[in-house]
Amino acid sequence: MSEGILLGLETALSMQNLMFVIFGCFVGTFIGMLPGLGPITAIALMIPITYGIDPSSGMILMAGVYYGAIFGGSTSSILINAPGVAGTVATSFDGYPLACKGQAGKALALAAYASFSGGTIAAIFLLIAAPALSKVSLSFQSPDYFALLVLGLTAVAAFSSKGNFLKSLMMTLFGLMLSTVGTDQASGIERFTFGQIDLLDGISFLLIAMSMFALSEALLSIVGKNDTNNGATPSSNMGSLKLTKQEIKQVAPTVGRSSILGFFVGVLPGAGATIASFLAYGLERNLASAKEKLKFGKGSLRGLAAPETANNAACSGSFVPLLTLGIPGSGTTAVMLGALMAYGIQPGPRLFIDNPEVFWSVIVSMYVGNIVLLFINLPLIPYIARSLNLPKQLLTVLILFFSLIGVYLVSFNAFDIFMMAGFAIIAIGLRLLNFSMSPLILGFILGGMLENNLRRSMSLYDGELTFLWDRPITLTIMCIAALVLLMPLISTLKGNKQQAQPAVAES
Amino acid sequence: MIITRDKLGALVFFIFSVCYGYYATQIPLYPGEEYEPFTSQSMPKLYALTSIIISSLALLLSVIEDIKNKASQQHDQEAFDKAGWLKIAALIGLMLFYGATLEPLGFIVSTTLFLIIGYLVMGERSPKTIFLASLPVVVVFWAIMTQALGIYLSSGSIWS
Repeated sequence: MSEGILLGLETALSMQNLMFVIFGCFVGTFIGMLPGLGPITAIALMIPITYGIDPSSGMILMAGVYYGAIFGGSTSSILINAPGVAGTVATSFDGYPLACKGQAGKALALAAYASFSGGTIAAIFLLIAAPALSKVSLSFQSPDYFALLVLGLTAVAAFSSKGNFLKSLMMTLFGLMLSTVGTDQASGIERFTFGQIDLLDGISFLLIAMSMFALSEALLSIVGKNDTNNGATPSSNMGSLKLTKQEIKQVAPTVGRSSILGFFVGVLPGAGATIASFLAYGLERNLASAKEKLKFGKGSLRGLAAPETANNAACSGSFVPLLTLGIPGSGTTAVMLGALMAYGIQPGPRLFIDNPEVFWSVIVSMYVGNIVLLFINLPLIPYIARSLNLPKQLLTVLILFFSLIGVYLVSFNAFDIFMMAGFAIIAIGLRLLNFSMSPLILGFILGGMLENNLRRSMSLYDGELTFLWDRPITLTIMCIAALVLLMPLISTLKGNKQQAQPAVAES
Repeated sequence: MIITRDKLGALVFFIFSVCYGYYATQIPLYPGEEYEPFTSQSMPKLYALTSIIISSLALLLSVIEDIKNKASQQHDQEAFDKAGWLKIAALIGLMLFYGATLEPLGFIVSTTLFLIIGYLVMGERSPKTIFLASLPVVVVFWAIMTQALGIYLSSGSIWS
């Protein structure tokens, strides 16, 4: 392991990669701050750049953008009560009231320290967990992978949007269906190409990610569907950035608890930063004394530190399934998986052996990224915040341009631009019908793997379905997947029962 | 019966799944492949079947929900932002225009046009801002791509 860390340090601390982390954190912070644009958009916009550089630098850049976007989201949550990212909605509960009291500087500093601690503590867990899990997963076979993919897809549908389980499942299936467009890898037969030569290679994941996220988010921000900004502008008065010793003492246990919680929630497929931040906020509120509880929502430091720590810890946690099993835990890591696959790198247990430099440099760059956020971004926040005043009429058009040209620069095919416009329309329609996009992108990326592993398992077992229960690992994972699938149904039924009970009592 | 968003979503998805399922049965197979346990049709058929089941379930549940909540029926009517939607439609049209002109007119001309028209659509009226945020941006981007990174960008087929 120490060799690995040294290799990671060597790669991550090279001058070029340090520049990438710094650049990534900046760009991520900026994009994350814009209301409506999340980390997926930020990362998707970076992908065309990463094609020109080597895989480890590309991953380092994207990881930097990821943290930056989450941190940027916190900044806009605190300053203008407009979370740029779903993962930082909980931050605005106590962050914005603090900013209203003229303590924006303190809130931002606390957010930065909490993010730093959460990210760093979780990175230590990742350092321990990832190699160990990699070794275990080396013994996995096609049936186990198939089961894991099924688990990942169902879990995403179950966790990704509250109470909309069926809708998320529909989106996952839509993504899976889109992944079947193009030439079948195994047989060479064309599927759903309708005679279009441009569809023979299938639809590129970058195109889907850009049009479903960047384009539709930017377009919808025009009608304010994506915008929780209530017209507030960032105040120029930041207040002091300093925290007192007593305040640090007060939030330290919170940070510790939330890091652990955030990391483990992040590891779960489909959960991620949003759920982690809400859970951590809820936990702190429950643990707080009656007097302390009253402060929550009115500018409590603990209420701000908990979600901030947890969302960054969850970001690191979500890398565990990506790096060790090749199964992304969230929409954001799904986009990263797509980028890695475009490099010809297959994330998973072999990554640790075949491309150790990618594996370790991503882990080490997490520390670097967190340090960059703390020491470089924090002092610059007042200046970056001013860019929020950049006229929207220019910004929207520029985002459209960068998204379109980003996809075009990879394929050099103008047909892709037409396709993007088409998918943007579909995405806008789906968003208006309250469908969430993350399950779609995950289904799209995992579709190919799912089919390959099922095909391989079927041929290993002579076309029998016995592979589903022949190996204990497969069976266990399939059982968990079934449980995850049934859980929302059970809770819905329970909810109905509980609703029925008071009704009976009243009658 | 009022068409709610949930119902509409489930219905659209149901129709889509049926069409997808139909085309899945049209995927050609090699002779004799129909006896194989796993063919190119297997996965699409599986997806189609699952999504038909799920969307029917969603449709059914939203209808039941409707009947239950009939007393407290609420329309999710929001103020319709006509100007905003027109802008979105115009920008989508602009993207199609960009796709159609990028190769014939070349990167610099078509991108500059895209940005200028886009800013105008979005309501920017100051000529100075429009100029500064279009041509210089395009030229700098072009220079970085072609000169620094060595990436070819179309120079326009109608000019040559």
